[in-house]
Amino acid sequence: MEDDEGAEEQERFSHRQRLKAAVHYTVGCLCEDVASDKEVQFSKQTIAAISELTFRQCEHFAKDLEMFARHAKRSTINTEDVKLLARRSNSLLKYITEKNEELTQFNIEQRAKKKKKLEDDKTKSLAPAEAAASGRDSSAPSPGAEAAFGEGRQEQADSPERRMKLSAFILSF
Amino acid sequence: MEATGGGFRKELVSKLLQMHFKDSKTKVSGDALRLMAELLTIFVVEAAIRSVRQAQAEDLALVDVDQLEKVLPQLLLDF
Repeated sequence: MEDDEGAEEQERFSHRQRLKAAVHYTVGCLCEDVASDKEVQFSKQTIAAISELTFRQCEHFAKDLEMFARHAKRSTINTEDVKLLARRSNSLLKYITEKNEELTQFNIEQRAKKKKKLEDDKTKSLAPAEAAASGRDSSAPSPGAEAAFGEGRQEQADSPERRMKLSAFILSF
Repeated sequence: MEATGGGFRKELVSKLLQMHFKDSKTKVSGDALRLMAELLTIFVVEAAIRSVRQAQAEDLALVDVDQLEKVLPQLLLDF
């Protein structure tokens, strides 16, 4: 029993060490960028101190975020909680709010792109599906394929505009 | 979506936060995770740049722990 507890403790400790090392690496990269930009040098102890600082600050951030979410009766932390976390300095809050807006804009654009890609894919997939469906009418297709072709056939039947799109696509060749 | 060349990766930030949650059911949304990565990056960069400014004010070419110590109180108050 005690061995198990010891092993678990060891596991947790080494997990913590791995995370600390990962933070240290990222901090080192960021400090290197700043150093080359400002043409100064950071001592190793300074980088180690900053990474220890960041690691400890994460604990405060995490606890605060959890409290904010719980206060709002949620179990998932969202961007409003993060904005509340950044309230102490005005410029920081402004920056974070701007980043949030950029993110939402980015998400909207991504969704629009995905939708367009999905529509393009559907148009492309309908062309071979039509040819194969006419060939397989006599033989018995496998259930999976039938589902796919069935869906294709249904979509064709449903929207005349899709048929127009399809013919336009074929004509383009 | 990362402003600087380096930056905190989302998986790392997620693990760092998860480690300190009291409730195991607490999760972080994807957007919040990205904002947190940005916040941590700013934290590190602020610490670095403020230390550099302190060193420049003291006319030093090497940024040591002493300079970091001097800027630490204001940094922690701002975050």
